[in-house]
Amino acid sequence: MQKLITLLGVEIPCANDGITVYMHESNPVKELSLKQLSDIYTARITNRKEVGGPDAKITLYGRENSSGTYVFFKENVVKADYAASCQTLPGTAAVVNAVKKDKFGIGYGGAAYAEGVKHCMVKRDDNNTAYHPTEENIAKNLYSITRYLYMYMRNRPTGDVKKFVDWALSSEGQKVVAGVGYFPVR
Amino acid sequence: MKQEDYDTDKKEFKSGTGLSLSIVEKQFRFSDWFAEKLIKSVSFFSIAFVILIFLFVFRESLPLFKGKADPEKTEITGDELSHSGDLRPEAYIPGGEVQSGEELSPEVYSPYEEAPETEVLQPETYGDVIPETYSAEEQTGYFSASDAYYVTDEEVDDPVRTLFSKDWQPVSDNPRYGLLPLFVGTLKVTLLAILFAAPLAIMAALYTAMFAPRRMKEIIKPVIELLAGFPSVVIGFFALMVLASFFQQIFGYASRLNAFVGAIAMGLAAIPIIYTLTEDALTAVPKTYVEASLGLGASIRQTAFSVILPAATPGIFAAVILGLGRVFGETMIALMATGNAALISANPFDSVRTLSATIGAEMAEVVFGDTHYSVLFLIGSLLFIFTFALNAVAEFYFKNKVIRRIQGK
Amino acid sequence: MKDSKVNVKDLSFYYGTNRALKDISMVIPEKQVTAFIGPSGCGKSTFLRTLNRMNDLIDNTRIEGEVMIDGVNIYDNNVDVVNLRKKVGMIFQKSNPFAKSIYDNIAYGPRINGMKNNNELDEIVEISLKQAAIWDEVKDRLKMSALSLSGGQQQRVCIARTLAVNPEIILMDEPASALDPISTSKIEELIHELKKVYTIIIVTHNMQQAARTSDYTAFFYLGELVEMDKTKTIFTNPGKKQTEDYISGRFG
Repeated sequence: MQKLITLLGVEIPCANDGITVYMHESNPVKELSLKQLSDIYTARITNRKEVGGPDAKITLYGRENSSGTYVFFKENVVKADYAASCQTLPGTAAVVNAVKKDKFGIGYGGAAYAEGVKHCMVKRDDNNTAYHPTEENIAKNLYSITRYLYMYMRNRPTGDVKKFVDWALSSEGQKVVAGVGYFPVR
Repeated sequence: MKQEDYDTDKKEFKSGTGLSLSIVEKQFRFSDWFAEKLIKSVSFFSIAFVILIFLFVFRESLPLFKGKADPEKTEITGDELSHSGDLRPEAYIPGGEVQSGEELSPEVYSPYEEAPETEVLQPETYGDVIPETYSAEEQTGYFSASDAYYVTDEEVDDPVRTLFSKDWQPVSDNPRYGLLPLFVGTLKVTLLAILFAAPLAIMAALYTAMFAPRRMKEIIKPVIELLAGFPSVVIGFFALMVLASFFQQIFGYASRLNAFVGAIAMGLAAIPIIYTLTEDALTAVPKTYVEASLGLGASIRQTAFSVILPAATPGIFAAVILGLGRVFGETMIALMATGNAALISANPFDSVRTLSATIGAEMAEVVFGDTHYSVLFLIGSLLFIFTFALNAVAEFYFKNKVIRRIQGK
Repeated sequence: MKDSKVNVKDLSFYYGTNRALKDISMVIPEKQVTAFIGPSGCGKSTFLRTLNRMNDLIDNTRIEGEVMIDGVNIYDNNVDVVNLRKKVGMIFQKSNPFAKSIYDNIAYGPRINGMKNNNELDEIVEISLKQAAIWDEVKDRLKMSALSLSGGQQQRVCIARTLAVNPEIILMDEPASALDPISTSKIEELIHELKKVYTIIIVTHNMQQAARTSDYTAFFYLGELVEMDKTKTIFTNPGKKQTEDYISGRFG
């Protein structure tokens, strides 16, 4: 067992990432449930008005299938294959940029990247209230789409590496995490 | 020659020239022989390299046709496979120690106080999904209610058979590797890009070759040729940021990134190639043609269009083919500007996913030896074959036909 | 001398600062063959090209003086160069058919003048080729590339191409210099026929050719017109010593 552990490396969760749903700032839609998101991304819902917006076609933006976000969002939100009409872009920044310029666009990606776009509030189901991906909501486990960001090491950290890892997990390090748009793990 | 030379013995005179010797006896000239062999081997190696690249790419796609891809190819050895159920990286706790299997998992650090560690640790299965960060309460309602709706009953197809389907869904529980939408997309973009780039580049070349004052020509030619050295990622970014919005305002189409925007951007990349070669072809048309035409009372415009352009057809043709090749294999621009949605449609304003962009986007994170991996290499070989076929058809069939039509039998 | 067709007065021509033609004045008669002779670089070709403003194509050149054709100075600002060249056709030293079929080569001139009727074009092509004495050789392969013909045939196709535009004056710049004797004699016979209808000016290095084909001969030397007279006079009793030396082969 010890050998196995060494082979697999060491995994250190060092930050929390809220995957947020981006929308154009002029978009009147405020909140979506996970079910609605899934329906949108599988093209079962293709029009804004079905989720409480004006009558307009929704343009889907996503990540390439080589992306971790792609797989995470697919497994945890969409839970089926993405619609063929989903435009896949090379990078979260590209997704944000595309949504920023598309009034009818919707995209997903790390909360840290959101710049010039609106966060959509997400609710677990129709009976729950919707929450913004804020630090508080994530800490209280109210926002639904979150994941850990990990550091990986071959062996348990020692020496300077250990100092760094300990610092990253300390409240000081976690402040830095929060400063760049991610969410602290503790 | 002095008089005495004529008087010398005939025999001596003959041997003195040395000419008769060199004709009957073949002389070995090492430098000539060496140069010839060197050139021969260099050209042979370049051809061999192309073939080797193709063979390598094709070989990687072979497992597709042999049947299922071998899972043993992944780096986990048989010994470790037995533990695959609880195979997780070690968790690191600052100052602490690893004590039990449970604590191996990183969720030890979960900030959610109310979520018991063990529950988070264990992969909770709802259907076939492993929600990592959801706590138990989340998985009520939405997931359980909708699961039946989402789970596909279809059997997982043989990957070879899905190659001809209409879906490109390589990352899925039921992966489908339909190449059809990729082909349609590639063709659409290539065609549009050439339709945009070729006339522009040829007209620009005609202008600099025939009409432009010398000073103007000295500016335009280097500037356009400078474009050829433009990194395609820059053109792609420009298309993504500027062109896409610009054309959306004009045409008002739904998806901002689409085949049309991609084609324009790729056209921009192809224009310098087509321009430079066309310009060279036009300048290579003998000056006497211009004189003859003008001498017959033709205007410069008539001369340019009815004499110079037809006379330069072979060169222009080669230029367009090269531009076509550039567009066909263009990866970065396609990745950035076409939207990369694998759709089958004839609408130029729909998003498309091209063959090369697919390789570019997916190769980075594909499992080595996987079916997906093989399919990507298959696409690579197909790209190669198609470029080759395109060139061959253009060279041996189309070119002769067009040139004969324009220049007489 | 018959009626004058071209009347040149004090013509000077400059390549940059180099004065290639010096105050040339001459009268060229209508429907006659006028030959220009002289050693290489004497300016005879340059002079020929000033007559249909072909030198306009060369950058950094300048012209002084007048060239009157039918009483109009062709260097006036309001002269249309395109129409001038329709009136004054030109045959070049090196045959230069276009990379088109024989038919399209001949039909090129009429077509750029807006002729679209195929019957008329067929007729013009046939007449022109017959005038150029090549019809019998090419009538069965009009759709073939003109470049597939022999050098002599190509040159006669070029002449036919010029005739199809129906000019009044034909300038020939050493039209037979690259041809074998048989082709040359064919071209010379042709010139003899053509002078019934056209005013022909021919530049040649070949004394015999000038003597055989032309009615008038002009001798150029170092950018100057040394002497011009009836061909017979020039070759039997030239007025200037220079002319005599050149003709008798003592220099040049």
